[in-house]
Amino acid sequence: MEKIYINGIGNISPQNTFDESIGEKLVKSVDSFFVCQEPQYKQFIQRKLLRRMSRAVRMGLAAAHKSLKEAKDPAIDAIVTGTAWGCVKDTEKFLETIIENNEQYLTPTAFVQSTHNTVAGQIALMHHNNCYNMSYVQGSVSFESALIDAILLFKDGNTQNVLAAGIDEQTDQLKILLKRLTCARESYPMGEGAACFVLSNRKEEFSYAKLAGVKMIYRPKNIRALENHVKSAIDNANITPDQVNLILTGYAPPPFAKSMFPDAQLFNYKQLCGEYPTSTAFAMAIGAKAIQNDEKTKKALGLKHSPNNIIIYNQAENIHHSIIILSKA
Amino acid sequence: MAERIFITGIGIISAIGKGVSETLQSIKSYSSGVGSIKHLKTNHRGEIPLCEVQYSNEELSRLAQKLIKSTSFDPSKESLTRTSLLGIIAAQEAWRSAGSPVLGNGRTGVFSGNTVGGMDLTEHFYAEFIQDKLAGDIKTMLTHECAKSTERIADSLGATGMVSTISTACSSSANTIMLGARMIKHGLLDRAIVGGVDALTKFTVNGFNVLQILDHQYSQPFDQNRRGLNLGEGAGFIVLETEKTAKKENILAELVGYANSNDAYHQTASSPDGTGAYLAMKGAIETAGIKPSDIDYVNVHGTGTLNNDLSEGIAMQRIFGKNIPKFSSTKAFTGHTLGASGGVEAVFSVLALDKGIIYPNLRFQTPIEELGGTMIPETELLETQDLKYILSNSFGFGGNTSSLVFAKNKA
Amino acid sequence: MEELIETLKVQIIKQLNLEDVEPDEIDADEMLFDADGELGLDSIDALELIVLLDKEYGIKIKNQEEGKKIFHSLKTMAEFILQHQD
Repeated sequence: MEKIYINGIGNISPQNTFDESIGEKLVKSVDSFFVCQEPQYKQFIQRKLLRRMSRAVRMGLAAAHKSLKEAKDPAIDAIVTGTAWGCVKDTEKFLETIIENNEQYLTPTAFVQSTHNTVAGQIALMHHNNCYNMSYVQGSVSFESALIDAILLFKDGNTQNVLAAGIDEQTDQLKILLKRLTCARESYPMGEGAACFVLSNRKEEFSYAKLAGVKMIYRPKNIRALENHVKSAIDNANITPDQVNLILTGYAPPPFAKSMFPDAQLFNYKQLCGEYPTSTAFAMAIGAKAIQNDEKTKKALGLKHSPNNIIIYNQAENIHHSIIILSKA
Repeated sequence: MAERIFITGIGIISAIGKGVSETLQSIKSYSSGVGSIKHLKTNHRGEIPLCEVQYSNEELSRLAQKLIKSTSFDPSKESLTRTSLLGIIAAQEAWRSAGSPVLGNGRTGVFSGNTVGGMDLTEHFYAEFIQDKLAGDIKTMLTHECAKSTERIADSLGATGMVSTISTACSSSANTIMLGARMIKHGLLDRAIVGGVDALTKFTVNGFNVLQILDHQYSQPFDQNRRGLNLGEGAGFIVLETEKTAKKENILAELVGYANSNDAYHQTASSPDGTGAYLAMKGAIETAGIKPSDIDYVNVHGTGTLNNDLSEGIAMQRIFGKNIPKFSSTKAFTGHTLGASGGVEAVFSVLALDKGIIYPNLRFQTPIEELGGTMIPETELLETQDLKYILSNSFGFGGNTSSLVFAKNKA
Repeated sequence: MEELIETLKVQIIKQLNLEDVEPDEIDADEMLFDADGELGLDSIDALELIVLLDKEYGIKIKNQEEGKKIFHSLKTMAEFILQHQD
């Protein structure tokens, strides 16, 4: 595994994570949903551009801006994003006008902004970046797909810094749909967020953590098969199971946790951001801060010591499983 | 590390036919897929021509069912989007033509590109939903996401390696081909089934219509009097394999170059100097380790819009100077299949190398003045061509530009 | 004419989602599509204005080149509407 460092983070989430570290005061969900705390966008985006942008695009651009600033504005060699739901608001808007106006008087802006690569494209446009630009849309492993692409870019060579982001937005209509699908419940709130990272092959004094591995597992046959994948991922990251101090996961503990990592602490990060397909990007942001020994984050996660190695585990309907491994820089 | 990437299978469905042999037949008879709307339920029927796959969803469903041998996936038990059906049919053909390898060991990836996922069903559900928030079959929404058709394709093949979907507008499936190649190159997979699919929807037809880039007649790519594009639908997949696993008798061509860039000029329009297109072509030729003059044929993006063809032409002049290789846009046959176009045109490129043919750019009459009046695409089907390298371009909204270089099989 | 220009201002602000712009801030002779100008409208906005003319005034513009002249300023837009309304 290449050495890849997280040198900058921009994290817009339901918690207060953008301007500072996740605080002692934690926000709870309302009516089965978490909603992002958004920054004032005018400080990052010109107002004549802002008027066209849905929340997904604004959040993505602001998160990108913050992560770049933290990494001291390095030259970016690639932009990779993951979003499962895409630009939902504009998609709804265009679809609704097609239906309501009977295919007449449609608004081109909504159509243009509805494409899934709008965020990645707009980041390139705003930063005049002609480099590699990719957008992954693979449900709960959209962000992981983007990270794997980033790892490939470092393997390809000629890459020093990659901007990687996970973005998903909620809308009023989506909330109704998710409730009807019984995805969103009081005991299992849904959420949203945009987290962006500057990944680099250069370790800096401000590096948060090392991205030590990413693995996507499609329809594992059984728990044993899943365990084998996890085992190979931590082997690849050059760590042993007993070196894993923390597992960031969802409401149910990972099926391999007790057998493989009996000593690791478990933390349900989704109680902070809700369930959404790219929630692992939020987990990566708070995990990286915990590794960097950020006191506030440690407190929010109930940690006494800063962890040396973290596993972020997510799964959706036993179709896609994923793990992300973070280590001390 | 210097792993070679062989193409061992191809599969295609579009307005000019289901499968490679029907497709070739249409090309040999100069028979384009553009025509008046038969399947899509839209008010633009009679006013805008489209390149529809000739089968209804029911017919596609029956065709798909016949192909699927997987025990864990029974397509008759669930409602599949047109996107999934088209994807399954083309991917199954690609897999069969690669000798039907067993895919269950986790070393075969499935990467597919598309732009609007299951919108073909969503837009009908949504019409009921906005009237009454409790109406409509809510399960439709489970087929909506772009990822869903890719999962159905993987399940139909029984593939258990990495499964992922790229959505970068009209370059989506060129980018999945690039991803598959890079995964294999770095030893993370032995094989990848890559390409893309898109079904026609009211959503896309109205979107392109309101952007005023649809031709209300039959499109004329790279022509001075071009008026816009004809939208199409379909799927194209190819099978990429390492030197280790590829069986010699199945090898059709080799993938030797690829690159993606961003035009970073405008959300939908291409830059006047074709920066993104230029960088993508240059990058792909460099990865291939060849010179621009080694390219024998360019399968251009060539949508037929004023903006694309001019910008792409300028970029080609920047790369090739005065010695522009033979080129043509096969979109005059298939229409612009959006997220599928990179996959569909990869199949065309592999076929061209394998059969030694170059495709005619239908309906071309007058060269574009702003390009000096010298950029004339091939207008006849050329056979018995000695082709070594083909460049294929795919460009999309958000400034996304990709190029691939395919080489004749020398193994 | 004056009245039409005032109506257009409100309609354009709504159609183009010009969040912070007040109707008084737009001058009737100001170039709408000057890249460095106050409004800085672009080709997608031109399409939005084509939709506006169709929806509010029943006037169809088929080609964007034609649109460029019509959408030079609020004044040219108003003149065009007056000439083409039934």
